[in-house]
Amino acid sequence: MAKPFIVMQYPKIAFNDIQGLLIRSYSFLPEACYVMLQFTEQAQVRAFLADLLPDITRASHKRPDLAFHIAFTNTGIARLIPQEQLITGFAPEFTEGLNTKTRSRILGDFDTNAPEKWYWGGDHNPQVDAVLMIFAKDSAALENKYQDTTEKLQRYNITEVTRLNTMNIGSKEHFGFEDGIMNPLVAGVGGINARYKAEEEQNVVMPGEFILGYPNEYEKFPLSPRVKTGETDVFDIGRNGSYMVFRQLEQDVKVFWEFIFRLSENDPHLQGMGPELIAAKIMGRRLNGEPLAPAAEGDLKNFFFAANDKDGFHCPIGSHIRKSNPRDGIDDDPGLSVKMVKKHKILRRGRAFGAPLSPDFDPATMRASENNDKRGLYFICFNAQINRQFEFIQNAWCNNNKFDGLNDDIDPIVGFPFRETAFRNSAFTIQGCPVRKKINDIPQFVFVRGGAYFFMPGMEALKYLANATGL
Amino acid sequence: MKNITDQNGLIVIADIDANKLSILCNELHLLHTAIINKADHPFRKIKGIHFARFVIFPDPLSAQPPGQLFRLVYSGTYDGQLDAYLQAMTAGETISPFQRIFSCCKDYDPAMPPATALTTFIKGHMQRVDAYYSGYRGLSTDMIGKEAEIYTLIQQFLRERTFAATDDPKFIKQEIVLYLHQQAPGYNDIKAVPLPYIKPVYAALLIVLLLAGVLVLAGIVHLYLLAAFLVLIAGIIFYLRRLEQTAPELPDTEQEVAAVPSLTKDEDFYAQNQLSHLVAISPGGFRLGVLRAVLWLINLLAKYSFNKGALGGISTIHFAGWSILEKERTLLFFSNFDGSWENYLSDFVDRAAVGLTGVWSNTINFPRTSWLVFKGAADEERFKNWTRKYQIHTQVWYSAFEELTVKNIWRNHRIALGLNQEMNDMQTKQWLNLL
Repeated sequence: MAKPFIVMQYPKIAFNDIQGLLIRSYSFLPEACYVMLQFTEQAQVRAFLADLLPDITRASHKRPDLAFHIAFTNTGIARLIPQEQLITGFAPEFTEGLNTKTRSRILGDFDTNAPEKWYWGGDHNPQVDAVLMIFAKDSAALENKYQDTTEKLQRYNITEVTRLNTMNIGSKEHFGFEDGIMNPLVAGVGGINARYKAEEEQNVVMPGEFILGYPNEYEKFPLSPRVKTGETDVFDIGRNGSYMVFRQLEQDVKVFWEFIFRLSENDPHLQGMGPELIAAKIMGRRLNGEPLAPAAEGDLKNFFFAANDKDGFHCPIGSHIRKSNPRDGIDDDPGLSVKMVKKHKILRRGRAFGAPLSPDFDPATMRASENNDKRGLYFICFNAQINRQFEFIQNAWCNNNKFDGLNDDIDPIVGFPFRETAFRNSAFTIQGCPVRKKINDIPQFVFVRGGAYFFMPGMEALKYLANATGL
Repeated sequence: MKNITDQNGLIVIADIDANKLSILCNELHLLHTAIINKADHPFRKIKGIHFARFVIFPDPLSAQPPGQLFRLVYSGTYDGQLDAYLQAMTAGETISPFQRIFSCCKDYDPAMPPATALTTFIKGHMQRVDAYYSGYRGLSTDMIGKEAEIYTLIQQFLRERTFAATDDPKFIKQEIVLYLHQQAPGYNDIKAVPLPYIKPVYAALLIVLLLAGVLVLAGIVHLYLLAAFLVLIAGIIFYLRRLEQTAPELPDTEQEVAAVPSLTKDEDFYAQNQLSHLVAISPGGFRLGVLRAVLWLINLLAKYSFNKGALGGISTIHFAGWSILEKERTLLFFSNFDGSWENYLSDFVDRAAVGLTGVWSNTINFPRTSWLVFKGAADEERFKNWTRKYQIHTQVWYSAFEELTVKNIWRNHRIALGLNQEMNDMQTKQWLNLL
């Protein structure tokens, strides 16, 4: 039987006005670095932006040899747009900033994750006003562009707070799992008449979930910041821009595998389960990316929970991929679940830092290694409403020990027991026959070590920020 | 019918004596602190109390500048009869904090003996709860507590005992029951709670039939009567549609960021959270009439159709209630729910926008609605901003089982009921799956 296609008209996307990173992750540009900036004088910042503008990569440029992007924090925006000029403001969570109490409470940035422990963006670090993001084919090209940029920074008296270097570790993340498998398909990116396969439909999300100025999953336009440009003239500065969440997540790979191996060796409940299977249960996928939930042969993306894995016998309900993307599995209405989950999606654009603990990601080698270098993920994602998308996933799903009827299961990979404000070893349930198994006293494997909420404006908005003199 | 212990909602509202406002605030703060520090406090001693809260709000109709006249709301959910509840509230030492709190209100009579004074005061200031929902109607605090203990004991047992993949499910269950017999001999007291229940679909059908019946009956009595009815309905719809097109929305410029930290600072301490919300009803008798009709309907549905742990698809609400207050000028909403505010409000929008729009479209500044129940709350961002704008600070909030979700409570109940049941292999497997 031929698979039916979903046919509908999608909004036309103004690729020429959107910074390219929003649309593509540049897998063909493996080298990257992020440069955190601090502004001094407003006029010089504007001149700097004007100078920079031609270099910014637009989304209409499909395969650039080098990509260059800029995004601003709340303080950076405040430096460029006086509060009284804003008719409608930026999103409250952005204006407030990531390192504040309310945000910490929602995200679980307490105790071992607290902003006072961060390397940048935290309580004791210099203020970050903006970030420049450079993506290049090789390190020579990257350094070249960086040098070029550094000169410009000096010319306009802008301070480099820190430079974050990514590491190209291939398609895996540091624990050794295939990564970056799922990302939403943005409706309209493939054209207004784009067609999707029926099984992909659960992952097709309206552009207004990620880019301001387009209808979202509620068939509404996300609230967008607007500035007064004259007596009655108003400019929508949010249009074709997006909120960018940036968090430095350090991974303790050795502790992870040490814990898993010990369970496999010593826990009488887990007899017969090898370390790789236990790790897979926690992640929801095997190391090679294969989902635990029943899926079509070779299809890593399009599978469902409700029909064949409602109780989590294959993919545990509290596993990382099920908590951060429950698909059709929430409650007893698969259709409604898919519709709801679409309202809590993010476009992931993160990259790894630090060398792998073992070059071939061999679990036994990683367990035995004595290497203490720092490694992890620069988690970067785009969304139109931080509170309903990124924060919701972290708070209501990953950090929530009561997720979908569970009793005390926090996401073992990225969850934090946010209510207690101190880290507490939590539990993980492996649903199964004849009776569930439980992993207790799970230590923390991932630590927040920096971060900020950014806004990545569209090209017209950047032009406005560069030229808005005398206002 | 009376073989269940029904839960009842209580709302008491009184004017605060302006001279005693600071004393009252202090008392409430002490109580709040005692609750969050898990110190000794009176709610703990009142058996049968699920939730309680104290809220102070400024008189919304006062001609005086705001900050002059304040009211106190006391609200609670309790098992059984009001008199028994009041008796527990006024017994022995328990009365003192309540006495100190309520004596800051205008009509409190300190000349009477304390127990009489408090009982008289509460009975004299009770407000009707116009629509009331319970997430687990019929489950008393006693049962919930016992069943939670059983769950904990089973967890403990499964931690100590290892079963092989080949073990017979029936054998495992037997071992669990045996263990419970040793640890908690009283467990077999728990019995199923029989509730009157009409499937929501049938309830809707019934309402439609009833309406049609009235029209048919009118037609039989006299055709003019039928015509009059139809004209009346058309008139109501026409008028409603006109009001909807002109009702002012909350402007996008009012994001009210500043007000939020005072609300969020008390959120996310437990698995459960609470919300108090007070908004003016749109002016005119028409809106009030529609609101009353909608609340009446929701109240009925909540009692007989949505009594299986979910209100219109939302399975995270413990207790919630609407009350029309202040000489029919404002609408009060209290809710006790699971998870974060954002999670709760998203559930509102995604699962129950129609019902909520039906209620709140009759209040001021609500996002634009259509045909009474459409649009409105489905305008997610504006609906959430609107909710925060009219949310009020809850001074004291108490929950008897703050770490149990509605789903946890139902799961524990099913486990406890299953202990005594004869089961076939399939049923035993399903029962084990609850653990």
